[in-house]
Amino acid sequence: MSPNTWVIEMPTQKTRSHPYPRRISPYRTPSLHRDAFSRDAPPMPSRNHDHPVFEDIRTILSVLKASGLMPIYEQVSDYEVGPPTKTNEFYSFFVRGVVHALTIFNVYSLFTPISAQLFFSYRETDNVNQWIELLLCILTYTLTVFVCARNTTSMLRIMNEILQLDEEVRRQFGANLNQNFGFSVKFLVGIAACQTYIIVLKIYAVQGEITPTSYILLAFYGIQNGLTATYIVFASALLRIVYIRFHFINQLLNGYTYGQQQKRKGGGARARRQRGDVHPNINPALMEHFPEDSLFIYRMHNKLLRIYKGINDCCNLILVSFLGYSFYTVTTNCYNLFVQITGKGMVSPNILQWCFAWLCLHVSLLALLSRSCGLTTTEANATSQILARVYAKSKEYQNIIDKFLTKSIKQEVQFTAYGFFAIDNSTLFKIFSAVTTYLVILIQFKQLEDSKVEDPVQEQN
Amino acid sequence: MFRPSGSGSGFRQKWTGLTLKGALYGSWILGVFPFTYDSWTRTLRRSKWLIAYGCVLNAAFILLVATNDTESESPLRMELFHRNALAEQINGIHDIQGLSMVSIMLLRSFWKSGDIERTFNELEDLQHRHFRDYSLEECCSFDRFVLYKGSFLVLEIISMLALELGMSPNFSAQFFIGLGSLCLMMLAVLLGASHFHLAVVFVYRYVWIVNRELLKLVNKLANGKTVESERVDFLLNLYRRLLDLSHRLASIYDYQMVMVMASFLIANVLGIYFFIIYSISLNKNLDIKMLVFVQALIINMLDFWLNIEICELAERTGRQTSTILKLFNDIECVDEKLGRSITDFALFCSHRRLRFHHCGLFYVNYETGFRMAITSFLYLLFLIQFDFWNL
Repeated sequence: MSPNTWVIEMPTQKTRSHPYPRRISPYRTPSLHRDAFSRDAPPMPSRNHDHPVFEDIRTILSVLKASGLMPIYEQVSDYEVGPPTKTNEFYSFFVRGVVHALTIFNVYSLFTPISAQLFFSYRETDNVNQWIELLLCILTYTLTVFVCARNTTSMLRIMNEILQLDEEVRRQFGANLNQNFGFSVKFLVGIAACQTYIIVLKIYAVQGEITPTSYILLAFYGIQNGLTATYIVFASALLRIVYIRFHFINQLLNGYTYGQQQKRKGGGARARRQRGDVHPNINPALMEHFPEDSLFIYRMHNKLLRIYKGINDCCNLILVSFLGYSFYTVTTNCYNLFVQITGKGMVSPNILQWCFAWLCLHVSLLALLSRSCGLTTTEANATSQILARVYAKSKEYQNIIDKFLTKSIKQEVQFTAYGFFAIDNSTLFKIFSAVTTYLVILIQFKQLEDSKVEDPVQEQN
Repeated sequence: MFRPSGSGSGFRQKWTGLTLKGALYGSWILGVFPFTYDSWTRTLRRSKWLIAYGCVLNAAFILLVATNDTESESPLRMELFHRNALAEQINGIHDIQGLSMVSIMLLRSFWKSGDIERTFNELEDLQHRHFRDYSLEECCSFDRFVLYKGSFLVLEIISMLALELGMSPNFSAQFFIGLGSLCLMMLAVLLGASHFHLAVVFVYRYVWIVNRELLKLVNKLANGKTVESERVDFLLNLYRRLLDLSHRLASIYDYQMVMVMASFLIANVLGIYFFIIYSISLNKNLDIKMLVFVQALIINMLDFWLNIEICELAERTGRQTSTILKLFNDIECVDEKLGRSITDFALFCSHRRLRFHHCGLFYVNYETGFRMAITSFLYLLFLIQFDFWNL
């Protein structure tokens, strides 16, 4: 047993003896606004395993499984996944091997004149920038593959923990915590379209006949970019899954808050009617259930924090390298745009489109990541704020509330990029302020470079 | 503190013990550990003779380095400085900063030796009274970081020797005297700095044990067994003493650590700057001299990061204590007295944290390390901009 692995053998819960949901969900009826907490008509969990786990994000999971970034796990039951079979494991291993072989080939091509025809720009600095961008892309993807291979077991553990948590919620409340993850599919399509467009632009821009090596380099470059972006969308989707669970327990707790209890007391049909108008989702609970529910909520909160930390540990290296790569790409493309717009010569539509495509792709990915991290972090930290508003008329309730609150003072959770900085909504602002700083430095360099070229000419004259 | 008692008998533990012993004897020989160990009372005692010995020895090293400086005569340096005047000026500032850092660091260590003695004695007392009976086989990070620290100490000296020998063409007696005294002086400084890091690793190990004990208590309660509140109070008392020790350590070594970190950062920025001048401005190809230079740069960066990682490790373990305490939340039947003890522990963790704050300037953790790296990169860009015409 180590403090790094939070193994706690829980005793058999009282609730285990109740196969039927004992509590009502914080959402009395399936809501039109949130179908995450829709109650199924039969509360008994079905025992057949036809229902695949993580169905909401199956498209993105299929892509990651096919590319060897995720293990092709076996579904043991509705609430458990097992390790991949030998054949599937070998397939993932094989795909990763091919990726590494291609990476070595590409790095070799980059360091030799084979790939020279791809760096055709008229300015030396642009070529160097593109070359570095390609190298960074290769490095980021290789790191992603390595980290994913290393974290296979951790990822399966996280998935199992989410499923166990779902099972418990379903048993207690009959709530099915699913949500429409349509954004992941939209992002997948967007990434594929953007990458294809970028590659086509590049092919059109290259002068002369393109060699097969260049084709391989470009195709692999597109795939690498696409898969790294897909992994970021997957991480965001995982965070959204955690967010939904945090939101569920927060809503459950919200039923016990002072405001909700007052409404209940104010009672009668009028209050219920009003509730339908003001907070259609919230369902005040009976205070007598608070001690039992609080235990469930605290346990869920601990488990969710563990999952949240697990996801952070699995992804943090990938996130650091992606953020670095993204930052570099955004900066260089902004710089290229600046050069194109302010340049005295002809504006190249090809380069403009290329820059816009890159900027769209990376800015939307950064926004998605920051937003998902920010949402989940806010929701995780909101539990203590909601608990502080719980209506505790007796000492027993007060003790239950204090138990949680005393342990939450100055204990805000954060989703970090390897501890270097927190990723939330403020990250987007920080990245763009850093981009501006480096853009100014790059422009200063350009001016220096121009004046350096002009001076010898003047001296000669 | 430097004795590897209770560390087990595995291969890794033996190496850890050897590294700790090496650090102790090395520090004694170089006069940076002016204490004698009384094995009967298990305490360290400050020795004025050893302080005097350390002062004289290190003053002699500094003097020898200052009088036998043949570094500036190397053709590579002359070529580099001839091409780039700014590099020469900055290098001069770095040399002065280096020598003043060594003197201030050693003087401060001797001046604060009374506090160091008390702090190390308390660590030894904690080890002997409370932690010697715990199995430490599982605390791999402790052994790993001690070994890393020891290896980097040796690597730093080797890389410096390689750098000096690789860059200099004339091996005169004066050169060897200068080089020898420089290496010994650097070794003394690095050993002095490593005392802080080793003490931090020990604090980490003790906090790790407290965490493990707390986890055992949670598991016991979860399995329906009873836990005495005195046990939690005892752990809280240990934790309080450890936090107190860590704050004392940070205040004793604050100036030293700030100067060492600044020195590392300046060396890294300058190293990359010289590399750029050499490869771009002088248009030299990669040869053995460049490799020697690059390896020194890499080792320097890794050592700097290791120093940050050790403090981050302790900080992270301190944060884990609060997380473990949250696990007590969902246990149904907790005795009122035990509940109060756990609440006290949680409140203590909320208000006092295991962090290393130097001179009120910054906390040493990954966040600071990242900011330092970014700032160094910016300074490097500014340096290149300043001197763009010479490139």
